[in-house]
Amino acid sequence: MRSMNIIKNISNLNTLLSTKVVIILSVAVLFLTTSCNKFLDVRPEGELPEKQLLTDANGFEAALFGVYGSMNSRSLYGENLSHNATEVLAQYFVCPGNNNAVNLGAYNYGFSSVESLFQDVWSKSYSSIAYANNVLKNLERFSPQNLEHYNLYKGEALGLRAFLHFDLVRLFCENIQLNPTASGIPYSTDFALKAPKFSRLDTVYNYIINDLLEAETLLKDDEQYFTFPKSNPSHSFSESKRNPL
Amino acid sequence: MEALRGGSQDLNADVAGFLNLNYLFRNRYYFDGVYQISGSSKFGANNRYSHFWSAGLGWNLHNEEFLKNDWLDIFKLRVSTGYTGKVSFAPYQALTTYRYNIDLNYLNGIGAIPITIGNPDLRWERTMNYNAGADISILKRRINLSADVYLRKTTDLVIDKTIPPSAGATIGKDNLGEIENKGIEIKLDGYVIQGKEWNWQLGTIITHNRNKILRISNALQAINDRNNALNTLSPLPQFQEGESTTALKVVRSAGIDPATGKEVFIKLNGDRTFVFDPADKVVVGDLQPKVLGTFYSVLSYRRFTAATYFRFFYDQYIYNTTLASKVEGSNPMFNADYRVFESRWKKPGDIALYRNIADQSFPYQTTRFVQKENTLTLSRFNLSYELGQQWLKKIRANKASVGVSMNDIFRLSTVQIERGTDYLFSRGFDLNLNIIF
Repeated sequence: MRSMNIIKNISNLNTLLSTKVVIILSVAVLFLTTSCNKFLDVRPEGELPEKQLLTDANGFEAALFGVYGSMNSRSLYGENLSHNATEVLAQYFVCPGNNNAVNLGAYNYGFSSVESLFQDVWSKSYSSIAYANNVLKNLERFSPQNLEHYNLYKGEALGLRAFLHFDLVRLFCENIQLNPTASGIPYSTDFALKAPKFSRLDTVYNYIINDLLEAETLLKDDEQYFTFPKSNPSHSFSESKRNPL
Repeated sequence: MEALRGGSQDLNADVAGFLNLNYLFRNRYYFDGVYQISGSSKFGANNRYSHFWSAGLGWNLHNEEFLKNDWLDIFKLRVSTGYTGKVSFAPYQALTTYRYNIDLNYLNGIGAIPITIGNPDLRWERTMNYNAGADISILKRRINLSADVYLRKTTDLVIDKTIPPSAGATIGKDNLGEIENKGIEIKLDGYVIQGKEWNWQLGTIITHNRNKILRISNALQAINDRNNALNTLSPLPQFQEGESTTALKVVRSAGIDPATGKEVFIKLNGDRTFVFDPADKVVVGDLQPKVLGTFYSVLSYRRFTAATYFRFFYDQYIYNTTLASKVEGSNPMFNADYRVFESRWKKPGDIALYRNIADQSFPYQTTRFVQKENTLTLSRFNLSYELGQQWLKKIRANKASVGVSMNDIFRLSTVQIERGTDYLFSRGFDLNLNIIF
């Protein structure tokens, strides 16, 4: 489509540089770089580049559902961090004969399945954090004036980011009250193929607190949409405004 | 709750425009030039379009006065150079793309997450080509020769790079690799007999190619380390800068110790040891043959045609998995290769090719199982008969032929190895009937 095929048999070298050829060439190049951009913007259904998805309420809410949905996985709060690994670590839950549970309960972190469990918690938590970061990154293109619920989306994403980091700190770091200068975890605020640097434990806590404080201010209107406690909210922000509870 | 359905789809678009110039001077010298601009939907908007070009020069020596004669038909010398490009990744790897997934349903909405972290700076893989060649045809085109040498240098090779998981992903795509390919290609064919009833054509295509990795990424280094540590049946690929992508790396072996029946390994510094260490692996050869070719003969008499196709390769190193799994790795209590009894070490003083017969552990990857292979195969033979006019009229066809074909008829090789263990090996025989209406 729209490809140009210009075959010229020129018997004289002088005409090679004639203006005609130059014009045809430049028109072809111009044509390609302008009108074909739209043609090249094709995507399979169910897949959308971020700049197309994150333009309205539906898109931002789908992306936030994505963060919550990914936290629902068995690696995180769907199993390990809700009723399994953390319970075993706390000695509330024992399972004699199960190598994984026995070694986890004995804090044998070098045991291969225990090691891979925590690798999974670490990498899946940072994936979810990265998803929240990308929501924040795309929100920078908007403001509360041109995107309804801007503050709520930003507040939720900041809150999620702080929450996930907080749980990682609790799992992987020393007790801050005993050793505030201990080494902490990387605090991720970007969505890029580059890993964030490790910070000191008290610095990580400062980041968490700052994000939580900002989220608290941004989410002050939350109560208009949901009745507290949020026992089983069944509507998203944009829908609850249309059909108030 | 309503059942949710999932699915997937793949879609991308490419556009290209090109300009082609040909210039011929007095039928002797010619110039070709191609300029191309290509765009692909797989890239981020940053590097969507790429520019490619090629240029060639040729000299028709057969049109020169000093070479004009009866027997020379074509004598052409040509050189060319240019850039070509390729896209070798999925669209979402360049442009961060959200995908809806039914597993991400939350409250009453379906969530979408980025498939991976896109790299908006991904560029086209570009290959710089240099080619020089000659075409010669003599005796009314009865004998034709065409020879080419080339050098291809691929830069910006799109390969995986590993990143710490705290970035939110563990693997990203980047333009990190560089590979160089060098080779020779020769085509020669000629009619031994050219007549009204009998025709016999012989021809061959011979190629030689060598590649070298100029630059790789840290992800490949991690794969190397993992592959190196595993003692699999045959050595896994190792990618090292300065070496071939198909280099065969194993530990050098000094053979079987006659006193103990154990294998003696040679370390990198030349020391002898009984302890195997994968770090002592060295390049002992290349899995790609030095020379690879085909050879064919087409003999025809009136309406009968007999075509024979041979394939050959010369100087190829292989790791003989039959020796590693069926001779040394096998248990002599069960059905085993005769070499288990004849060639393995049994008592002190035996000079044996293979380890102690009592040792049933998995053998290590050493030079004992590396062999140099030269092979000739008769890959296909076809005999056919073309039907005459009176038959064609009856079936109202334009052209029709019947024939028989046989595949993989014989194989001469310097190496004995089991075939058909990974994929079914078959010796085929088929009857064919071709009709063109």
